[in-house]
Amino acid sequence: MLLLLNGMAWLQAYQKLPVLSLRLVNVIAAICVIILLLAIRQLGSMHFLMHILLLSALLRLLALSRQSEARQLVWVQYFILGCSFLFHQSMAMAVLIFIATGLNLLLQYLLFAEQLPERKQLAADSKFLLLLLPLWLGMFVLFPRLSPLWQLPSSQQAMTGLANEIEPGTIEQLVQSNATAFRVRFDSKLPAQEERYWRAKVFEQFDGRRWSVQQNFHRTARTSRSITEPDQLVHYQVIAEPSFQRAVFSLGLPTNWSPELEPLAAGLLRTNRPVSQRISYQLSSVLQPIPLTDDNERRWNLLTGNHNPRSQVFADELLDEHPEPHQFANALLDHFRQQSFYYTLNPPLLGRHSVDDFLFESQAGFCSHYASATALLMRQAGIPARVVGGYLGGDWYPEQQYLLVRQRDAHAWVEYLVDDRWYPLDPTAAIAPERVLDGLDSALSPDDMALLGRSLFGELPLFAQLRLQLLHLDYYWSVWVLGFNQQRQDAIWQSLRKFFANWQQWLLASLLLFLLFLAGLAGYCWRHRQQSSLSEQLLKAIPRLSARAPEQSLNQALKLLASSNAAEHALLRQVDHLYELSIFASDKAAEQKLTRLLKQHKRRLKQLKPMKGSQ
Amino acid sequence: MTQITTKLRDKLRQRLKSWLAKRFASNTVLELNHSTLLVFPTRYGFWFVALIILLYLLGTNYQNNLILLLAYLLLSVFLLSIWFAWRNLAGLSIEVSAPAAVYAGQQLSMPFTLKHQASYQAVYFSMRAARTKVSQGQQATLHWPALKRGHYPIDSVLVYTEYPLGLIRCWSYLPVQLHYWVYPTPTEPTALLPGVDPKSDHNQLAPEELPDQLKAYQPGDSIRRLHWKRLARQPDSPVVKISEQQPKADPRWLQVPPLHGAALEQCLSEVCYQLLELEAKQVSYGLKTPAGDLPLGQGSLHLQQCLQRLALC
Repeated sequence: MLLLLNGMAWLQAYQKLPVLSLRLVNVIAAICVIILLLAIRQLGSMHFLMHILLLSALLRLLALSRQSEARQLVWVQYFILGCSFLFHQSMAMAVLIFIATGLNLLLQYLLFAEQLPERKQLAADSKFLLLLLPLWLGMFVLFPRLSPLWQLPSSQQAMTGLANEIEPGTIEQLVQSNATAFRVRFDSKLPAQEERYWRAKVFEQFDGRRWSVQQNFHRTARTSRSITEPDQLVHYQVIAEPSFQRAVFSLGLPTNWSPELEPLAAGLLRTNRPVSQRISYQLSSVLQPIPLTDDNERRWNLLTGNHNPRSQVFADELLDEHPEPHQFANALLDHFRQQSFYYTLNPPLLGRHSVDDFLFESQAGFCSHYASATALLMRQAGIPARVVGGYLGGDWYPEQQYLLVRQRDAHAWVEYLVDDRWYPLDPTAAIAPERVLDGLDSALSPDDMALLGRSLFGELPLFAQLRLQLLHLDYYWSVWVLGFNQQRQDAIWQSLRKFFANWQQWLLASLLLFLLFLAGLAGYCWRHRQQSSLSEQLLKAIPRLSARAPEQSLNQALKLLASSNAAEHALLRQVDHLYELSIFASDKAAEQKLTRLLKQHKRRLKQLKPMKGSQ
Repeated sequence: MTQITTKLRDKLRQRLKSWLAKRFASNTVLELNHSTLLVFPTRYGFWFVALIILLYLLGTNYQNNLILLLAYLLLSVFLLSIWFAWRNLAGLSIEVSAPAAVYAGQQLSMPFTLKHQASYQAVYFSMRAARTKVSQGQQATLHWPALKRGHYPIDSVLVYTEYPLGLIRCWSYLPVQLHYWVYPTPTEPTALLPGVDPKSDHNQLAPEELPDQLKAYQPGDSIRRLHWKRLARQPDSPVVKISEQQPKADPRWLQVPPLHGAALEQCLSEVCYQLLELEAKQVSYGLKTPAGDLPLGQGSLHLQQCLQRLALC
């Protein structure tokens, strides 16, 4: 629809079609709004508003007849450009939008100046235009930042990433996506691959087949921060891609977090609004088991439901052999190792008693199958346990110093409670230790790899390389532009302050400023000297000339002076001749000669006798 | 309410004008510089600032750096355009000459001579309703229609620019202190009115002494028409002779009788026409108006004086 209207605008501009009447435009607008209203459910309110704005701007363009309307349109276009950043933040889009802003500025210029500047003038103005850049970036870097003043509706879109429930098959779908989930910059030492379990959600409700997030989480989040050695802490910054969820990715037990995050139970955090645009948050964690929140949590995590009877029997048998919880966990892993379980992306479908089917029939599954079975078996053995969803590992780029976690790193594992502490347990590590140690690709069979369609990139290393470079560029973009926040700003101020802490630096800076000032002054003077006209130079060199009668021209005065100073007659005639040449014939060479002559005979010219003719 | 604001605005403008007039060094070559230029955002500029604030709020509330970046870009554009607007006028020296006298209904034109070391773009000159725009290398002339005869002062001309983006207006009132003349529109006489009519060319030497009628002397009556014989007898009540032919008697004298309103305008227009005719014929002529007489004369200066007298009637 927008394209159609755009086409009309083009036609209008090039075929000199008449401007549409207001009534016709209103009719078109009404039709468009009705169509949009029909689609409002799909679009969400933000998109709807945006569409309305765009439509009205375009229609206004069709019916544009006055200059004031054009100005309003330009204004609205700035606003639209600003709003489009709510939806698009990738670097390419940002470049595009800023180019569009530049075009809009040009449009505004043309509206008021009515013609493009000449090349000469543009060259003269360009150095002032260059001032724009430091002004702009300086403001961006140093202008104080505020936290959100009030809540605004965010654009609603389908959630991406981990869903709020896990059933056999959900994670398999997720890992087929190569999209970036989040990136991490570590301010402390990088934890080992097998320690990088990024917790996002805990699934505590089980209905026999599906694990889901306990929605009525009324447990008071315990914010007591355990005392830990500072060197045990991991400090990191997460730059999350928009997921339209509020889950925060964290390692172990978070102890410190940026103010826009709020703590949840189970050692989790969430953002204060759904992540609809790339955001970054600062976290500090200690890689320790998470403490129990309260007794309700323990109770919830013992519920098994009356499903999966065969696994109940198996759990009871195993518990008899290994009554201690840690031993029970190890025995379970041993069971997975010894039996013919295998790790696949493409497991057979499971029935209603999914754990029974998996444990005793298919024995093939992905991380969620193993986690689901392990958690249930533990619960059946009386050990509180839950499934944790998140990401495992990620690719570390040492040159760029960041960790890239993709959707395909999605993972599910188990936490079980011993002595009021939740210990992590990853059954996948028993089946496919490569998954934990080297990432997903190494753990998958060639068939599975083909399923992911990953072979293509293996064949085209150049393409893969280019993709990676773009990813890195995107990372810097998100860290330095999108992720530029108050803390970073504070850091810059801090370093500035630190820089000026001692007097030598002060001296240096003031000296530099002084030098700059001197240079500016010198440039200014030099320009002015250049600009002083020839007649002024002449008047300065021959003071007698200022005594001429007001109606006399300089030429006349020079001739008079020559006649009264017989000794300098030749010199003055020459001066006169050169002056005439340079003024009336615009002879540059004569001008230069004249200045040289004036400089050479400075003394003589100053001592001339007064003119005879002057009154 | 609007009355009060317009009154206040007028007062403020007057203040500004007189304040600026003192700051100009000379009255002939008006130089625009930091002491004679005023800078303020335009209405569109205020809208633009509102846009920046809106974008800033949006960017802050969504914690969206790109929107903030856009807001700062627009803000720095705004700040720079202050400088650009100022630089566009600063250093400009303007010479203004009084508009040439015209007849009512014609266009007045006031030329400006601009000198600038750097270039200037889209500079507007405005006086009352008249407005003109100049860019580098163009001749600046302000045109406006002369509606009514008279002698008018021009105390100030507004010079302004909204270059480059219409956000900032940089302006000054030029204290020009000029005057201009608007003469009555010349129209061909339709009826027999005092003055020269076409027929009079033939019977210029018509008998002068025809039966006279007398009337009491009134100030403004020509001394030539005094009844001298009677005055000798009765010096306290002077009487003048009036006759139908009297004006024709001396075609070189054009007379404006003491009339009012449309009749006066009509008369002035016709007298003006006759003046021009006489000047074209190179005949010497004089003018009699209620305000006084102009002696017989000839030449452009004399014509000018006569026309000015007509304009002031």
